[in-house]
Formats: sequence, structure tokens, C-alpha cells
Amino acid sequence: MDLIIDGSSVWGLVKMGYIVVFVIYLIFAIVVFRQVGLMGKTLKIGFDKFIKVIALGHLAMVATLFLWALVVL
Amino acid sequence: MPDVYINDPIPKDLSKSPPIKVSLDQYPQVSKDLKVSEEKRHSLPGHNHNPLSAYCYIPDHLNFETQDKKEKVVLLLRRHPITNIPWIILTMLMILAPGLLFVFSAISFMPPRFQMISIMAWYVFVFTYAFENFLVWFFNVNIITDERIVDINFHNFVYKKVTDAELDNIEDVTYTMGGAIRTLFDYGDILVQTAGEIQNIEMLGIPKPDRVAKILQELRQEEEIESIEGRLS
Repeated sequence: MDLIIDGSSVWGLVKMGYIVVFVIYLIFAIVVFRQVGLMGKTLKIGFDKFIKVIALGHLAMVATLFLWALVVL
Repeated sequence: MPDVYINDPIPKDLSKSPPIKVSLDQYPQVSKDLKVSEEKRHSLPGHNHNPLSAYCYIPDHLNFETQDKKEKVVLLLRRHPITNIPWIILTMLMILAPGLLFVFSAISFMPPRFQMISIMAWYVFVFTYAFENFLVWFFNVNIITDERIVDINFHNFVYKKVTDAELDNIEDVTYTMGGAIRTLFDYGDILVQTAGEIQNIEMLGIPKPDRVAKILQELRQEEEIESIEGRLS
């Protein structure tokens, strides 16, 4: 049962906090993806594509988490 | 009074002397290995095709940002894989951490949907932590070419530092290998001191530091031989 304070649910505020954190995390994941590409240009060693795929998977995970939090919470 | 500032002309027999050539046998082993064909290269000690290798002698298919067209890579070095043990152990503990939260009912005050999202977020964070540590290990390399040493450092995702020093500017190479673990797994540190304002290069936790120091010595010898050949020819 949610606590009601001044008509607002505490968990509604917590949800907003989660969303803000996940937005920042999503921006960070985009930076990571971009930086992995730049790292691959600095050092081309034949393994770059695989690492790029992992970075893309990481970005997809964070995006999914963000959308899930929007819908479920 | 005789003019003491004018040099005597070079004697004719000296100016017609043949250029000095050093035979291939007198070149260091590294020079001979660089001229070996691609098929025979596979049998060279230290040569491998493992992209996760911490020590690769004359690697195939390696290019870096500031490489010249004729520049050949002699060694690719990273920290020994054993140096990754601390963050791997921490990652494993982080994976098991939510189980402890359930055992001690630490998050039972939260609604189930918040518990689910929190645990999902935790595992994504653990993945991010492990991935960052892997990338820092993978892309922090020391490359030794036939012309220079290149030190590529990614301190984190947004900070990159590349240092290079010509082999001619190397003044001193010191390697250290201390402690039971380092002796057991044959890895250590190399400090390359360079001339002038060029920053010293540190290679920390690299495999076979004695072999790396030997290769650097041979490359410097080769540079000296080339400069002698070039100077007197």
C-alpha cells in the first residue's frame, strides 16, 4: 500500500528519481558506445567489431531498462 | 700568420672510399625476424593470433592511429591477464549480491515492481562495470615498432593519452620483477627513460619484461647500425 503525503504518492517521487537516473545512464551508455568506436580507431586489432557489438548490446540493455521503468513503475 | 680556421680538404682516397655495409648476420635477431615471410612468422616465439593476448611478437593485422606506412610493429604489450583478477572477483561478488538482499529481506519494503527494476538496474550496472574494466585492459597497450615506442592509455571512457618516443631518444631501460606472484607468472614493469623533455614511458604489469628489454636493446642496436651505415655511405 503506497504512502500518501499531501495527495502525492511517495513511490511516484521514487519513480521520478529512477527515471532521471536512467536518463543519465542512457546518455552515459551512448557516450560509451561512441567512445568504443573511437578506441577502435586508435587501435585496430581485428577484435573491434565484436567489442562494438557488445557496446551496442549494452546500450540496448540500458534503453530497455529505461523504457521498462517508464512502463512498469 | 697561418689561418687556423680553414680545414684541410678531404683527401681524395677517403672521399672515394666504398660505403660501409653491415652484413645481415651482424644485425640483431629482431631485424632478421621482421624480414621473415608471413608463413614462417607463425613459428617465431611469442607470435600468436589471440586478440586478447598480453604479449604478441610481430603481430598480424595491427594498426594504430599514428602509425607510419613503412613502420613495422615488433611487439604488442598489455598488462598480464592476472592483473584483472581483482575486478573479476568483485564482479562475481556483485552478481551474487542481490541474493544476499533477498536472504536478509533488505528490499522487502519496496513494492515488487520496484524490486524487479532495481535488481535489473543492478545487473546492468554490474555489466557496465565489468565492460569498462575489460575495455581499459584491452585498449591500454604498449606498442614497440622498429622506429619508436607508443604508449596508449585510456584512463576511462572519456580520457585518452598517447605518448610515443623514438628509439634514438631512449637513454635507459630498466625492468623490475618483484614478488612471488610476479615471479610465478613472469610479469613486471619496465621504465623507459628518454632524453630531453619527452616523457618517460612506463609499461606496468607486462609479461616477460626481460624479453621486452632485450628486444628494445636489439632495436636500439639496429638504429645505431643504420645510423653508422647512413653516416659514412
